[in-house]
Amino acid sequence: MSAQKFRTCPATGLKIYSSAETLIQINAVTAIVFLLVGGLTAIGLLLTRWQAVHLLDDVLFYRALTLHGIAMLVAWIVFFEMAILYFASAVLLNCRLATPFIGWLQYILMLVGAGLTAVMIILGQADVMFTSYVPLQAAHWYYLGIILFAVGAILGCCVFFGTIGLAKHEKTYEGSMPLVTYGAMCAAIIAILTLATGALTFIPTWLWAAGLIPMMDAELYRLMFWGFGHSTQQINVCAMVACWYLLGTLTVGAVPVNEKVSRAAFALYVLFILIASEHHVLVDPGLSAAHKTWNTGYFMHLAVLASMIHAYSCPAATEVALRKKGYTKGLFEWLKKAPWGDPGFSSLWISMFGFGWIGGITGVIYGTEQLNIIVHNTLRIPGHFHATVVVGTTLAFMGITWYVLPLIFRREVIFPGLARIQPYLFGVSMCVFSVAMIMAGVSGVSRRSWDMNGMDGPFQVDFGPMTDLFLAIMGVAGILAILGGALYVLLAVGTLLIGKKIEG
Amino acid sequence: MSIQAIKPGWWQKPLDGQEKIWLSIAFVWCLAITIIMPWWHVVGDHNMSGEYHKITGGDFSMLTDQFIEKYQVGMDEGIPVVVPPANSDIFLRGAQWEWDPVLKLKAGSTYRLHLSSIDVNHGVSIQPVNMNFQAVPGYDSILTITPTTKGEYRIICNEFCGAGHHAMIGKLIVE
Amino acid sequence: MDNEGDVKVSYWEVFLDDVGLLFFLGAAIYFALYIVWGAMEIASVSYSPLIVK
Ligand code: HEM
Ligand SMILES: [Cu+2]
Ligand SMILES: [Cu+2]
Repeated sequence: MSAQKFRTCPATGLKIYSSAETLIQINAVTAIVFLLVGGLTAIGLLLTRWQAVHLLDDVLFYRALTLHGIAMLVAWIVFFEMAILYFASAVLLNCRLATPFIGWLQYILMLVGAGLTAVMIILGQADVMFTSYVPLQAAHWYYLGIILFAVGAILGCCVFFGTIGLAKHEKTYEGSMPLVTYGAMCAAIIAILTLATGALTFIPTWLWAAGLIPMMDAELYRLMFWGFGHSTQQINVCAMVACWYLLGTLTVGAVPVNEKVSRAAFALYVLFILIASEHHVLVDPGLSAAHKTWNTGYFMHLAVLASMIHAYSCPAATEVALRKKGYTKGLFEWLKKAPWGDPGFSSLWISMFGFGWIGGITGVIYGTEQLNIIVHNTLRIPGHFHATVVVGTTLAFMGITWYVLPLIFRREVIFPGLARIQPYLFGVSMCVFSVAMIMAGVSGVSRRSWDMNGMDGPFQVDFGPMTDLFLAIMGVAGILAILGGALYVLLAVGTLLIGKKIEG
Repeated sequence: MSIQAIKPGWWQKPLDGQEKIWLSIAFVWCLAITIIMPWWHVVGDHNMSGEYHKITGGDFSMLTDQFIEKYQVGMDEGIPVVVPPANSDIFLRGAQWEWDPVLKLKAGSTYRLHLSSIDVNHGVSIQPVNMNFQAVPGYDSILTITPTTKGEYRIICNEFCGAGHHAMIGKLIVE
Repeated sequence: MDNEGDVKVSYWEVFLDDVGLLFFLGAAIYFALYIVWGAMEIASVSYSPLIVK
C-alpha cells in the first residue's frame, strides 16, 4: 500500500521508514548547529554580565543577546522538537510518515525563516531582543523570518497529526497510542495554538515594520506576544516530559506506574497551561486584577498539578524498574546501583532535578501577582528559565541524543567515556549557573543590561560585593556549562562524521 | 512501556497507596496557592493599584512638563528636581534614555504616581527596595505609593529599550 | 480492537484519546480566557481624565 521504504530496527522491532528517518536526522542536525551558534553567543554574554570581565561593548552585547535568544530558545529547541514529533509519530506508531513532502516544506520554511532572522540580527538590523516589543522596530525581514519559521513548525505539527491519523486508520497499533506519543501529541496541540498566536502577532507587526500599518498597540502586542512566547515554553515542558518517559524506558526499561495518571496529567497541560502566559504582564497597565489573578491561577493551578504528577511518576517508574532488576535492599539500593554511567540516565535525573527543584519552584513563586513585583525583569528571571529550558529541556534533549545516534543515525557514539561525563559537566554547572544568576537577581540586578552599574548614566548604582561574588560564580559555572555544551556538539557531530557504522 | 501502545481498559487500574497520598498532597497544595493569591490581593499592601488609562506620549509629556514647572526646586545632573505636595498626582516620564524628573517625596505621605513612556517600553526598577513595574507607551499606569523609608533610590530601566538602555538611570529621594 | 468484548472502556479513556476534543477545549479555554478577555480589557481602557479635550 505504501511505496515508502523502511528498515526494521533490530533493537525494538519497529519499522523505521526512510522518509521519517531522514527528516528526523536533518531536523536534529540543524538543531545542533543552532545550539552551536547560541553557545558561541553565550560566551560573549556570560563574560560581559560577569561585571569584572565585561568583555563585549554595549552594541555587540545586545546583538549577541538577541541572537542567543533566537538561536537557542527558538531554533535549537523547535528544530529538535520537530525531530521528536516525527520520531514519536512515525517510528513509535510503526507507521509511514503522512505527506513527507509537507515534512520537507516544514524543514525548508523553518530553515529559511531562522536563517533570515539570524542574518538580520547579525547585520545589526534587529537589535530588539527576541521579544521585539513594539514600538521598538527591526527591519521587516526579521519578522518575516519568524513568520516563515512559525508556519513551517505548524506544518510539522500537521504532518504529526496526519501520521497519527494514518496509523489509526491503517491499524499499525492497537488500543491507545504509547505514552510518549501521547505526550508528543499534547505538545503538538499546544504548539499549533501557540504558533497560531505567533502568526497573529507577527503578521501585523511585519506589516507595521514594512510601513503598511500606521501603529501598533504596545500593550496588546505584549499580551499577544506572550501568548506565543510563553506558550512556546509549554511545548518544551510537554516535549521534555515525553522525553523523560522515553529516557526512562530506553535506559532502564521503566514502565509508567499508572498510565491514566500520566495521561490525565498531559491533558491537564493542554487544557490549562496556556493561560500561564499571563505572568509576563502582571506589572503592566491595561489588564485588570481579575484577568491577572484568574489566569495566573492556571485554573486552580491544575497545570502545576500536572507537573507535580509527572514529578512523581517519572522517578517512580525508574525506581520500580530498577527494583525489578533485583536492587531491593533498603530504601536506596536501587538509587546507588542505578546506571549513572549511562549519559541518558544521568541526563534524565539531572534534568528532572533542575527543572523541578530550581526552575519549577521559582516559576510558581515568581508567577504570583504580588511576588512578581520583586522579580520582574531582574536576573532572577533568566536564572529561573535557564533552569527550566536549559537544565530541563535542553539536557533532556541531549540525553535523548545518545540513543538517537545509534538507533536512528546508526552510528556508535565516539568517546563513550566523554559522553559519560557530559551530562554532569553541563547539567551540574548549569544548575550552579542558574542559582547564582537568581541570587544576583535577588539584589535587584536587571536582566538584559550591559552594565548594571549605570556606567554612562547620570547616576551610578552599587549592588555591593555579594552581588559581584554571585556574578563571578555565575561566570565560572557558565564557562563550565559552555564547555559541557561544546562537548555535546563535538561528540554528536563527531559521531555523525567518524562514528562506527552499525549494520542492521 | 511508555513506547508501546496499551490495550483498552487502562483507566480501570487502581492507584496505589503512595500515589494516592502524593496526589492528595499535591492537589491540596495547588488549592492553597490558588486561594492565597486573590486573598492577598484583598488583604495585602504589596499590590498593583490596578488603575490605568490610555494616553498618548504627547499628552503625557505635557502633563509631566506642567508638573515639573509647578514644583521644580532645582536640577540634578541636568534633570529637574521636583518636590510635590502630599496626596498629589506625580509623574515619571520614561524616554530613550532618561527618567525625569527626579522626585523628592516625604516619608509617610501618599502619592499617585503616574508612569508612562513617550517612546518604547521601559522598565521601572526601584532599587534597592527592588520593586519593578512596566512603563508602556500609550498607557498611564497609576500606582498609589506611600514611601516609608528615607533615603536615595535609583530608578533603573530594566526593559531593553535600545542602545542606551543601561544608561537609563533615574533618582528618587525620600526624606 | 473494538471486539474485545468484556473489557470495560471508561469514558475517560475515550475522552483522553480524543485528539480533536482536547484540541478544541485547549483552544477554547486559552483563547477565551487569555486572548479574547485580555484584548477586550485593553480595548476598553478609557482615556486619561487628566486631559480635558
Ligand atoms: C551554554 C550555556 C549557556 C550560558 C552560559 C548562557 C548564558 C546566558 C546569559 C549570560 C544570558 C543573558 C542574561 C541577561 O543579561 O539578561 C542569557 C540569556 C538567555 N538565554 Fe542563555 N545561556 C546558555 C544556554 C542557553 C540555552 C541552551 C538556552 C535555550 C534553550 C538559553 C536561552 C536564553 C534566553 C531565552 C535568554 C534571554 C534572552 C533575552 O533576554 O532576550 N540559554 N543566557
Ligand atoms: Cu528604558
Ligand atoms: Cu531600558
